[in-house]
Amino acid sequence: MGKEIIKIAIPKGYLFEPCVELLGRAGYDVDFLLEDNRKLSIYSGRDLIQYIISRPMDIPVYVEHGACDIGFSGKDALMEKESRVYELLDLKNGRCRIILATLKDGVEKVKEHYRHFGMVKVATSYPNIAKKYFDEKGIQAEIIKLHGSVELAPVLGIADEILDITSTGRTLEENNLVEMEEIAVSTTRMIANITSYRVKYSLINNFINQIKNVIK
Amino acid sequence: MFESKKDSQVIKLPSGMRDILPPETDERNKIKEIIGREFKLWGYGEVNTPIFEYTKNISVGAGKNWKDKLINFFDVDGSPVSLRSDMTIPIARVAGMRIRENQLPARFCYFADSFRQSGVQRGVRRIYNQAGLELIGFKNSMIADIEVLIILINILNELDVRDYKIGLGHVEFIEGLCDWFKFDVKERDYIRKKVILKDFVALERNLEKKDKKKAEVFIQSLQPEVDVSRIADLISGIEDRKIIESFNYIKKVNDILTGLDYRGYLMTDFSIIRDFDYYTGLLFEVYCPYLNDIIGSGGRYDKLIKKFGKDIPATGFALDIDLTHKAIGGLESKENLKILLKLECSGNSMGSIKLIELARKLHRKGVVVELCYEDRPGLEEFAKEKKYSFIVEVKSGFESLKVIDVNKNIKKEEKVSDFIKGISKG
Repeated sequence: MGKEIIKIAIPKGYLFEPCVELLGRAGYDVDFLLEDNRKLSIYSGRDLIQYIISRPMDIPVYVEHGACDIGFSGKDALMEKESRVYELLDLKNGRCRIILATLKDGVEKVKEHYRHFGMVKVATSYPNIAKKYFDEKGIQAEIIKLHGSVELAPVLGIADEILDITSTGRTLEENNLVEMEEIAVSTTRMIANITSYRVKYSLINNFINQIKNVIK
Repeated sequence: MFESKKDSQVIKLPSGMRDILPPETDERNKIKEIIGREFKLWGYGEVNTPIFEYTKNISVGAGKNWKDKLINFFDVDGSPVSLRSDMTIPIARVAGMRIRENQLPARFCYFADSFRQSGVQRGVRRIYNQAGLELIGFKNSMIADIEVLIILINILNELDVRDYKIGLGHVEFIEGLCDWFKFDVKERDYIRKKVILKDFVALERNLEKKDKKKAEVFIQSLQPEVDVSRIADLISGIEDRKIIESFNYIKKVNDILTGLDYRGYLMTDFSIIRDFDYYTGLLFEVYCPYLNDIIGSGGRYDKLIKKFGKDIPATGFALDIDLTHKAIGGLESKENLKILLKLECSGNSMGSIKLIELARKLHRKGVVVELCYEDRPGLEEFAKEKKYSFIVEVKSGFESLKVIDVNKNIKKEEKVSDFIKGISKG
């Protein structure tokens, strides 16, 4: 069977750099991850690691189905996907908050609307989180799924409020939105496939320890 | 009248259900045969139980939210009934209802479909074909658990499942850890939930609030471990009866199996918690590389049969046939000679009847014969796909025939009588 390798899923986008930086500090060879190309699958012969670069929302799915043994995933994606994966470590980077927001002058309007119709309209890229949140509060909500630029929804009048992530609050500000409530705080997590975690335990454990050393 | 034809042609199955066609069924049957042989060698007898029973029986001993995971409907008299969600509960019911003291110990095995509800969107299957056994009524729980584990390992080896691992855990271990932390009922529920999810981030955060050092031990002791002594070192300072006893139990099971040359398949994993809450002692799960699910699992359930009227200890396991099949891929085995038999000029029914007679002669020699009564285009591809080695064309008059070797593309003519004789020689 040759030498065993581990397959690691790395998120594209804003989590990419902090994750690669962390790998670098932990002593892994990351130079070719930083090369400016469009390769989505990169093999490190030195570390025996296959890196898969993918959309953040797909990472829990890849790991759940065993396409990757380990992945770096935002807690927001984990909450949304509810994938059957193991959450091993908090990398403590990529911090953002999952919040409810509405138009600056809209808070009262939303409340009034809810009193009147017993229903709110929410636009989000996280329909599952939204559904759970409103179910728990016993509020009827119509959830509109959008693939990004959710901030537009209240401006365009297709939703009363939005459920989205924010880190600095700038996008909210620029789109004339205010935060109504914080639902959760998300950071990057290291996740593992259920069987890989057992079958490749020593490799994975080794990897966890390397990463742990540079987090603390 | 109002139905558009196009729509009516779209035939669907309820989500999570599927049909299984002959090639796959063949392979599954071979798997079941190998499993069944091992069951039989150890004296296990096959039981069959109804596919649905009263919900109140099926839901006994199952976890709190388990009822939502059953497929439920109503009987004609309005009683709620459910499809069985596993075979352990029906067999426990059988044991409680039907087994007399002097019939113990009972060794039961089964090959059965069970059904579990799942979210429609997730595309998860709702039908589970399992092979399993239950060993009921031995007071010495350890030796019974060992027998069950040995049978499981033998089966996995017979099936040539590669690189699998069996994780051994114990229900009481986590309970003990919770005692050690002096958790109340609510906290225990939370901890159990997080352990099931293996959400070590949330666990660590929660435990560290109470005691940072103890939290480290808690988390470390739940990691999979091939070397049992490392867990022993880790928990050496803890004086909790549940932790000590459950650990010693697993250590002893591990030692005995290692002594019997079953080293290499086992590891301890005290994070194992099953979604059925009838388990009382040893728990185990089988993991396979490249499969994202547990292919088999089992454990001890000493209190379950009591719910059906008799206080009898029991242990057992179930193997998932779909996943086991995936784990081993295809199955090559010695097969009978398989041929496609046809007339050179088909079309008349007298000829076809004579063809059936010839097939019966060949059947007696153990040859698998599929008959082609009608000409069809692409016969060779058809034969290859169904793994027939020869196409045999009988000439009118039934004196001679043409044998076409599908794989080697060789054709030769032969007398019918010589052909039959040739088969008996091999």
